[in-house]
Amino acid sequence: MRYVGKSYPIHDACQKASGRAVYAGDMELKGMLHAAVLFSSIPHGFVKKLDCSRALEYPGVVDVVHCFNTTEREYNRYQSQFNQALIYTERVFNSHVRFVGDRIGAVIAETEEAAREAVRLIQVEYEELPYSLDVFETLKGTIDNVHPSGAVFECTDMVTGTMPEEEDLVTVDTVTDLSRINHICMETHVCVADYDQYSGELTIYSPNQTVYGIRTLIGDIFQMDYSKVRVIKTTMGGSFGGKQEWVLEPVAAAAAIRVKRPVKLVYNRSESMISTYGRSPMHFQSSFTFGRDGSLKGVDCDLLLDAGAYLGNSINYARTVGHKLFRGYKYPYCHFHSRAVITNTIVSGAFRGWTSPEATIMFEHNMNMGARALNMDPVDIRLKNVMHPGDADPLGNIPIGNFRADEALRQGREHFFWDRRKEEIREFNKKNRRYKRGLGVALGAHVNGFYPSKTDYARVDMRLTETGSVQMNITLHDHGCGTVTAMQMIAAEALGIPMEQVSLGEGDTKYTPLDVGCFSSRTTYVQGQTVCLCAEKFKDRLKEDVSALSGLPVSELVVENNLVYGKYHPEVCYTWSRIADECQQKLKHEVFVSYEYVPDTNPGVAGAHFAMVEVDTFTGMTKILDYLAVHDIGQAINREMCVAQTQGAVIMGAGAALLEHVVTKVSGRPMGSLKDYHLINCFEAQDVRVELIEDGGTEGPYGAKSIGEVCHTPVTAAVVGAVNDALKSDMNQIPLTPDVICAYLDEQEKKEREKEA
Amino acid sequence: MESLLPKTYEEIPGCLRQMTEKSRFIGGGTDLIIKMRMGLAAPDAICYLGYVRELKEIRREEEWLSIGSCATMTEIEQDPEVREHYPALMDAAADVGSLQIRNNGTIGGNIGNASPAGDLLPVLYLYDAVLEIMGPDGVRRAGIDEILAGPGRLNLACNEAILRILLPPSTGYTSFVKLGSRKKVTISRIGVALRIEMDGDYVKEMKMMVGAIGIKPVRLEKAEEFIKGRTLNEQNILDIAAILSDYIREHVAKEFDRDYKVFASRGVVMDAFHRLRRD
Repeated sequence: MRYVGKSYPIHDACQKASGRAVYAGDMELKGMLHAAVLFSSIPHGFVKKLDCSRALEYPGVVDVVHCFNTTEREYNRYQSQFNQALIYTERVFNSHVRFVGDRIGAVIAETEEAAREAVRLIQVEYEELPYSLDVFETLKGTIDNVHPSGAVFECTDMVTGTMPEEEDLVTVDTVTDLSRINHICMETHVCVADYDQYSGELTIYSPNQTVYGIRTLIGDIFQMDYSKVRVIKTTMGGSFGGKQEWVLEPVAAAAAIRVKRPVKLVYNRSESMISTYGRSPMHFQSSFTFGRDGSLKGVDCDLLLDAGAYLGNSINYARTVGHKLFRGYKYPYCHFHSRAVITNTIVSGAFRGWTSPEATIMFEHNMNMGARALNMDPVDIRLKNVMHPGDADPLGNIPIGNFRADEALRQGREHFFWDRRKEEIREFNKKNRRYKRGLGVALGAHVNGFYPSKTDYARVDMRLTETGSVQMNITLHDHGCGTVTAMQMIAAEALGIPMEQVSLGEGDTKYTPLDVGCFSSRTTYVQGQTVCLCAEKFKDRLKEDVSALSGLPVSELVVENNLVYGKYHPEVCYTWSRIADECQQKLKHEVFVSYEYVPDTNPGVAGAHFAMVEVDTFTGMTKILDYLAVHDIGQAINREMCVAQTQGAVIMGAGAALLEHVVTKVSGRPMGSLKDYHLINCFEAQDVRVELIEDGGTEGPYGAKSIGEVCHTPVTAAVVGAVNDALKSDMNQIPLTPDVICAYLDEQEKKEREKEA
Repeated sequence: MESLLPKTYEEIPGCLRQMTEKSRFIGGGTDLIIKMRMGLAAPDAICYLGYVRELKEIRREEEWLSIGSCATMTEIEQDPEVREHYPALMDAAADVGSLQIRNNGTIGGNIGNASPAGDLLPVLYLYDAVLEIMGPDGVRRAGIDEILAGPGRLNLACNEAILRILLPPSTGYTSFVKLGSRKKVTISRIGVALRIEMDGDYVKEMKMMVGAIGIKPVRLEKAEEFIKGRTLNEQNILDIAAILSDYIREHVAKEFDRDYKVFASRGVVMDAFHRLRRD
């Protein structure tokens, strides 16, 4: 292949490196104003009175929008489809405030500084209500009236298969607690909205994962015809799931409609951390039953998901955890029960992997504890239970296709020197009192698109220019990880022309095709395949046109290297440029095709990750000494980007394992600063080795499968497993910060002292 | 807001006369600018002394090492005199924030900010630093402990500026180790500064200052007494760590991560002793 599988810089790498890329936060529109939001300072209550008079007097202030002068139509920030069945309780501005950080109003001013200063001048009078900061408090009934629909939502109670009636089974019971984490995109949340009162058209510029989703939600909130809402996807500085639910867009739209001018809204880091959304805290109680040979017989899992103050995606999220229990391992029985619980805390929402990492953290811990109980090697117990090509996801009986988890585990074991290191570590730990080393392995699996649980389809259009290049029209949402370039590579490969002769852009609801958005790792698998198939159709079209122009039958024409020529009459040779020209002049049409694709497969995709850590048992600090990620990817499109995405995912997942959590103080006030929220920084970021298993065999482009989410799926579980191996512990309260580890060790030391005494 | 920008030593008193209770000095601005942006500080005037050449200098003055209050962490870390004679100060300066912060942040700012977690403070106590202070009417000198009053507070009038930090000659071996929430770019949770003078294999004298466990650096006299005349074997060092743990258990409130600090003292104390060897 000429392009696929090689490595190219992302399409806007030069613009980004030179500072020429325009993010929404860089935009300047004629007459543009700036908004700053007034947030609730209490965790739960009613806004009784707002006094905006001093804010309105502040120099540069144009207007104030708030809960008493803006539409009270309720919506759900997770909505992205027409008539989507969801619980709608959130408003653009809320008079019933439900967390510290809830939106009450926004000042619109000539400058951001003036808007922010004026926000401080608004006097808010509250009536405070009891609040709950964790799911157990809510279950006591403390905030039953937080929403008309209640505070506790049953999500799913499903039984799959039957529990084998055997004797001599081993059961492990564990508790898993996941803390609230934030996406921490380099680009904070931004939206620019512009309302033209004469045309009645609202234009929204935002970095997001579905332009059509925003169009739908905004159209519904403001009761606008969808054709009057135009959404343009802007250059994005990272999303990780953080820009697929709509938080700033309704606010900027409300402001722009009110003042009939463009309005820019930029959240700072603190606002992005507190007032958008994060990954939900989860509390799992689970029980796994194994045969003596390590075969997994049954899974029983109960999940309490902390939805935060508004439901958003939480009911769907809690259900989806159950769907993710069947993507990697085969076992006869599962009972999964989940509830989503409202608390007066930061709203929960999507995070990279959409419950795959969360389910995996719980699942893989149980596999480790099972291996320990059975005195088995952690890799062996996984190999014993892993799914193989030919197996199917029991939910909907969907074949998992050419799923290479087994191979990934075996290859990783060898290349990570698993068996040798196990011995070395045993010796190291025997000799060392302070530093303890451990090994962890985790298998993560994921999907390739929405099929069959939700509608999935894609459309691509291709047009030929008179200079022989191809303009592609497709609704892409590049997060900064190279989607545009990947599609360009696929198109160039399929068309047989140089990459620079393929041009394409990103989503714009006014011009690009309807699309369900960048979700569920569908972009490469579904949209990429659409590009491939469209290119084939485009080449057929070239042949038809040359046939009409030359009189040769289509069957005798060959498309190759920017040329179409007769197989038996090589003197009949058309450049693509000439085809475009003669089609216009003689046949009176543009060379154009449009192709719609509906996927009917959704193979599994797997990653086996291996971590070696060293824990300082005196300070609780954990260092990752080595890390290997082996991925079953089918076919890498842009190779170095696949590797880099995986390396980034490891830093992200390792941060969740060891450091990251948003702390909420007892007052209900969350800590919204990177001073308190620690990521793994470049000093501690470990080298990550990445290996790709590429044996194609999928319905994706050139046999490709997804990478962006699956590479994040096993990370936290692998690192946690390694820490537990080092300390012979059974902790699964994420993150394992130095404090958590020291508290555990302190407890162990006390127990030992008591034993001695 | 007014900016007071003396260009020479002689211009400083004139600027100081214009300062009020609401005025602030600015060094690298690594704390003050953040506070101003968050609306936590709104000074009527800021005074920047960094244009005064003498206040940027690190130089030997007879037996003293004189460090201008506007010297940055990077300049201190890289200074040959500091590295040779005051290595614990090098340790502390090298571990402040990130490189970008160290390129801006100043020693005067670290003192003026008076954070209980201030990285340089335990080391300045360790070396018995003396501050040279200028008011509108003249210059005076005072020990670091006389000036440091508590979190964010100094015993200085609003129109008094720290000009220089003077370090007397140091003897013995010194080191500083900080324990944060991660390895780098982290705020100190415990900072241990040590000075040891040996008599053969035995400790003649030790000084031990601990930062971030109280409103000001704490001198751990009980540990100093304990180790006198003993060797630096592992058990003795663990016993010193236990003395620190006990101190924290008694004196630190639970919400200031007491339980963690009690447990983790062992690690940071051992690291500080290890670092004395400079190997």
